[in-house]
Amino acid sequence: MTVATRPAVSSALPAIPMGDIAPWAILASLLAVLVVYFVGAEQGAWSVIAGTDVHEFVHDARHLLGFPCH
Amino acid sequence: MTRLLVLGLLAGLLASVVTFGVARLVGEPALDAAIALETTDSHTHAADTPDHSDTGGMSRRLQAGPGLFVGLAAVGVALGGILAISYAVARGRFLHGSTRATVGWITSLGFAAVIVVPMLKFPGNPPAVGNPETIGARTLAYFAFLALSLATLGLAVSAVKGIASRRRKMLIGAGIYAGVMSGAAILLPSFHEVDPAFPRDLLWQFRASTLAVQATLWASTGIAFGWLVERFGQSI
Repeated sequence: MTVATRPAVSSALPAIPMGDIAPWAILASLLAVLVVYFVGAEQGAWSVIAGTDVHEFVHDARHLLGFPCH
Repeated sequence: MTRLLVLGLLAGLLASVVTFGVARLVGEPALDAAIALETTDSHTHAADTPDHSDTGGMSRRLQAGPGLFVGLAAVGVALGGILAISYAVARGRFLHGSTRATVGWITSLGFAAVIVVPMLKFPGNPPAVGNPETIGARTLAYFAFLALSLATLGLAVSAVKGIASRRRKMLIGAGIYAGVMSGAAILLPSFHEVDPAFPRDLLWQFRASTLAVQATLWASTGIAFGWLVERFGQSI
């Protein structure tokens, strides 16, 4: 079956303009990196905040998400 | 676009509630068993492993309850947001199927590239395992491998975009990804730090539970997002 034999697919989903996506994509990527850093690595290999409170609070999540923890 | 993003964040939050349940049921027993070993068994508790009896004043209840939930929810919501943006980029450009099929492809490829492949090279360690002296090198190698995996996935997807045959598309894409990542896995250092005295069935149970937790998080984020978009996002 080729696509041409089908009736024009009215349900074909339109592409969303890149200009609409780009600002969100940049913001979300940066925030996601921050989140993954704080949950996955802060106060392990590197520390931004002094002490071990961040590490200990998310300790179980970090282990169970499989991050190289300590 | 704003609505898609909201649905993504919501899907991630819903998924983290489900994942919290799985993590409690499957993951916490292994975590607790490893911590118990660490604090009681001096044989496996090498002097150079981190000591979990010192939790910085935080109780295990706090760590296994609110701490676990906040950590999972933060990662879940971030995953939902990234999924929404990936969906917006892929739909009508890289993927031309239904909403569910599009979300299914993105979630599956993302799970393979972000979770499964890095996990094969750098599996997570339970408490009492892992040499603190190599934490810097391990963390760096892990994130480098993860970044390369994502970049290679992007490269492979872009490279096969124009190929008409579905079969050839998948074979060539998979070939590019597998080739680059196998090379990287061989070149990057490996860390073999599990004490021979650490029970191997507990190690296996722990690592399997990390895969189960991630699989639950990704699958439920994808399912929730696909459903939410079909239900509330058709005008987008």
